[in-house]
Amino acid sequence: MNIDQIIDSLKSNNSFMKNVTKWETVPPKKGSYSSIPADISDKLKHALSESGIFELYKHQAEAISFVRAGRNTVIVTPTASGKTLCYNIPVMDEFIKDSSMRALYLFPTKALSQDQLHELLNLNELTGAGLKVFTFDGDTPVSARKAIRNVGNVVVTNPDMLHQGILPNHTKWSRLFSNLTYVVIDEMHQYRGIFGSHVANVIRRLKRIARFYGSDPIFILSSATIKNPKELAEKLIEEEVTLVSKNYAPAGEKHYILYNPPVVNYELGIRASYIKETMRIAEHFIKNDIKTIIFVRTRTAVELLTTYLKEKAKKMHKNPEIIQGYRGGYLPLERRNIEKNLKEGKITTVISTNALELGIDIGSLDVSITAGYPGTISSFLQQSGRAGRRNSTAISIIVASSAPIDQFMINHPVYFFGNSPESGIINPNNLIILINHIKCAAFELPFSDGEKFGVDTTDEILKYLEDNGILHHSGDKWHWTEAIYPAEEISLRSATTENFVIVDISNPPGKVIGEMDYFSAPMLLHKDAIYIHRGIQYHVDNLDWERKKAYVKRVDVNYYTDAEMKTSIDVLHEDEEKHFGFGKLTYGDISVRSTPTIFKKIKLFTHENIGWGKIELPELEMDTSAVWIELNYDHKEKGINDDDFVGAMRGFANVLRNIAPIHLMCDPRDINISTYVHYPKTDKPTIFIYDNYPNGIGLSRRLMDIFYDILIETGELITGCPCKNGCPSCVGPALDVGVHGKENALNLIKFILSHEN
Amino acid sequence: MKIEDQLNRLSKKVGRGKPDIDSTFKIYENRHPFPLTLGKYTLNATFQLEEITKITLPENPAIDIKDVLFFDTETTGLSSGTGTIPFLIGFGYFINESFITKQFFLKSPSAEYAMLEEVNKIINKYDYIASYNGKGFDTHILESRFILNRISSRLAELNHIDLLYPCRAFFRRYLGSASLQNIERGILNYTRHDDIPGALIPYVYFDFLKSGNDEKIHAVIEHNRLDILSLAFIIKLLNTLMKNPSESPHELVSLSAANYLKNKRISGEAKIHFENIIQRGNNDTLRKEAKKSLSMLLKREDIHKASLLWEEEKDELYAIIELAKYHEHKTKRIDVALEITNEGLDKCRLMRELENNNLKHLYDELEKRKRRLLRKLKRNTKT
Repeated sequence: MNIDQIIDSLKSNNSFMKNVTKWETVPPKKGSYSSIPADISDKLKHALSESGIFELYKHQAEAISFVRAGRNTVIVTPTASGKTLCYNIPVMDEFIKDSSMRALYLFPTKALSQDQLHELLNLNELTGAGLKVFTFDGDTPVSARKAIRNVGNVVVTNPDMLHQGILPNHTKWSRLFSNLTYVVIDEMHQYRGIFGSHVANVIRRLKRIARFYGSDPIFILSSATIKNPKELAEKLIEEEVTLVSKNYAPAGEKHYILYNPPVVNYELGIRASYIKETMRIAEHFIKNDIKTIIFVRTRTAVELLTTYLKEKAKKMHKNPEIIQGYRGGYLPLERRNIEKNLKEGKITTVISTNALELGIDIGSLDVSITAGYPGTISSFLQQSGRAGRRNSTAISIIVASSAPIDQFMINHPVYFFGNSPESGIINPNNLIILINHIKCAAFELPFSDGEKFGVDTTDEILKYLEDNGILHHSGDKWHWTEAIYPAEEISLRSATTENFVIVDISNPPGKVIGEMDYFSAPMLLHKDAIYIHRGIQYHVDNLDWERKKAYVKRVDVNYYTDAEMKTSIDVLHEDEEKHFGFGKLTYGDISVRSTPTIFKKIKLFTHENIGWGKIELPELEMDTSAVWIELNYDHKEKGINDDDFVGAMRGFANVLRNIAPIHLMCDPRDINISTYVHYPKTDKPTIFIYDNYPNGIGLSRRLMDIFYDILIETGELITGCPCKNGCPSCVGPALDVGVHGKENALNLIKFILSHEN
Repeated sequence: MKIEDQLNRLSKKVGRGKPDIDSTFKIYENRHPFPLTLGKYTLNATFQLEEITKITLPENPAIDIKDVLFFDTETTGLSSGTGTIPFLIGFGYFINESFITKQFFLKSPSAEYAMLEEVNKIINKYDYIASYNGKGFDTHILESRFILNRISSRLAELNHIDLLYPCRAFFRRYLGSASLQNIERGILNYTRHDDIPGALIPYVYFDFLKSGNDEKIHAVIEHNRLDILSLAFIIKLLNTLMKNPSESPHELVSLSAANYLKNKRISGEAKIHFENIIQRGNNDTLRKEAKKSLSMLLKREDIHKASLLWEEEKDELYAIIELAKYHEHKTKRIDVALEITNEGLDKCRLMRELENNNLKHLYDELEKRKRRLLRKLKRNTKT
């Protein structure tokens, strides 16, 4: 069967179709083209035609003309719509005109940059212009660094290296900074949350150093589809940015299929395993030699699916080598090999982790299957973008797991095809992050009196740093007076520098398997906790609080642990209030003090409580920003007893925790929720939703604006769930929220929705 | 919350009052007339660069010591990033039968530009600089400061005699570490009194900036002056050792020096050193090591002389192999070569249990040689 025949056969397959929540067919689209700008150098035009490019997609031409007019530009178009050309053409053209030109390319990860360079190098070769392109990252040999600094026209690096290696040593890079014409920021949507807030500050530093050397670069950004690309770009570079978002690249017919595995236990709301369903779906395509990529969430799942599908291939009398895993950790050569074999048809099915959804040159495939919602819609769209060709039909299937977010998304197909609900949110002025980067900036170049770095009150921060002996004010400047190198101690990937290191001591002398932030460690890494890392269970033998180390050993036990935290919240400052019929919504700063108290041992699958233990750790205090909902709701009047109301509040919070990240484009761990049946000061039921990072990263602030949207969706998630009394896919199991938890949580939401005024 | 309040919550610290420090820099100049003594060495009017330039400036060995600017800095940190400030820049030069040290102390970071301009005037007078690890550290820091202050400087273009590299080669094996002060103590026989530990220096400066109290700064200035002074004596020391191995405090120094000179292809001096060790012969291991190195040096120049050394060292595998080669290719005495090769194989078999892969390699090599020699013998007997 060819792909169109498979589509027909799936459509008539009842056992398949009964699980399809949506089948969306996007008709084929013709491309719209513009001619290559006339004033582009002949050499480059020639090179483009040599590589088969005689005209540009309209969006490419548009972006290039903005950039060449000196405007910062963000390009937001799907995978395989020729985004890289939008920055490579201006860079190459500028170089042909002025060989002293320098450009900086920033990619969020190391692996990406290698693949993306290929096109630029190819263009350079065809022009014969002699553009020098170098990757500068942690793997660059010391002996090569000097040459890169002196002669590299295009330096390809990542924000971490810019932060720790390049900016603090800018005098060695004076040629780059003196001639810096373009800064390219690829995969911009990755710069959100903590990471994005840090990167925005790194860009402030970059601009500050560029100014010192008299240059004022143009920024070219590219991003996957999100709700607020222009806003995010402008927040990142703090300049006006022009948006190019309409895609004019041609595309063949595309079928999107949303598949929800059937419920196998209504009582507990348990669905059939999404991995097994994925296997079953994949068989249709393997049988017919259709080129397919399957995205799963873990490396273990890659291995599992690969093994299973190879077995299946054998049974179909096919060479099992047509099935290959493709995940992080594979060497570039192995990857090139897989790519080559895919192109030549020696491989038909690739199973990959979502870590590799970006920037891999595997050409176009016919089918993509996403097993489990990958966390964000932009991530799903990048995965599904792997399937699709100009002239033939393609299919993208998503198979939902029973996680609440999966269940919500699979029932809200509009998000996949309509406008993205996801906003990239950053808060570059998070005080802790800001102070850290002001330190780095002061190390790089003394601040002058009155100089602004992000905030008007920069002087106050400088004064604070002087009081702490870090800076010294002399003349009209603030000089760095510490013997350390501040960037070395500041990681762009976390809010605090005080991370806990997790050491696996199963095999002495042990090895580091991961890190955990300061505020999560007490919950997940307390002594005797069962810590699950990449699907493997570890027992925490000891948590060394002073040295920030957790020592763990591999175990295989039939339970997990769940810590209980005693949390108390004090309101520090109220910034904004909104009054509603149901009560009040407030945004402001809070202080969260929490102490882990006990942990429960919960049996796997049955969720029976099979024991408990005490946790003895110090209290943690964190100042952060929050939104809180204060309710004029008297549960007793409604005939709900105290215990049931606790369950209702908890159930509501559980759903909220899963819905909010869809809009905030964050991990559920990035926010936290605390509920009070009687908040001490007001005696009213109150729900605090706060950023799980010291001083906040702007997540809860956004909730003020989209509160009702989110609430409607929480209600829909609960009503849409087929379970009886609550399950992990909605409000949580009845064990946690009580037998009436589901019903009461829903009533609570209905109350809020019906009392807007 | 306002930033002010947030900052207050971050730290309850109250800002301290700031001392009045005048925002200038200060120059400390000292004249050290000849004869000038440090430990067991003395500098006088005849002092010159001499031998040391063969190593450090091979392309231009005949320069006058008066044309060299000695320099050393004290900084606010050890990273070479742009936030590290050289708050004390010390120079030394020879003029009118004396050694002058001139040190620039930055009393306030805001005076850096003015100070660097003066510093640059001195640098501009010279084509040669001498330092201890200046190539790896001080020049990078200074260049960075010049760029930051937008001053153009010739510093990077100067010929640089960095004494760290020869000192490391000469003294590390003997002293363990070739730090300036280790060399002073262990070789020059000079011990500093009340010297400030290098690690404390940044903090002394930070403390000075905060308090204005310059008591401890004087110790830093003195430390820097002695560092610069040491540089001149180290040149004297290296010159002496190169010319006269008997001055060496220990055969290890002699041997290190000899090996270094050999690698630098300064073979005249190298040979003198090797022979000195062999003659002194207090330490058998070092003597054997010297013989081996010397024989390899002689192999290039006078293989017959080398073969005499190998004969003496015939209990060593390397010597056996070299002798076998010597007789096979030079004297053409195939039978002697074969006999020696067999000795070597026997020796390998005896050592086999004890040693490693490297031996296996040598053994195979000997086996190969044996087969070849046997072939040659056969051919010779036929003809």
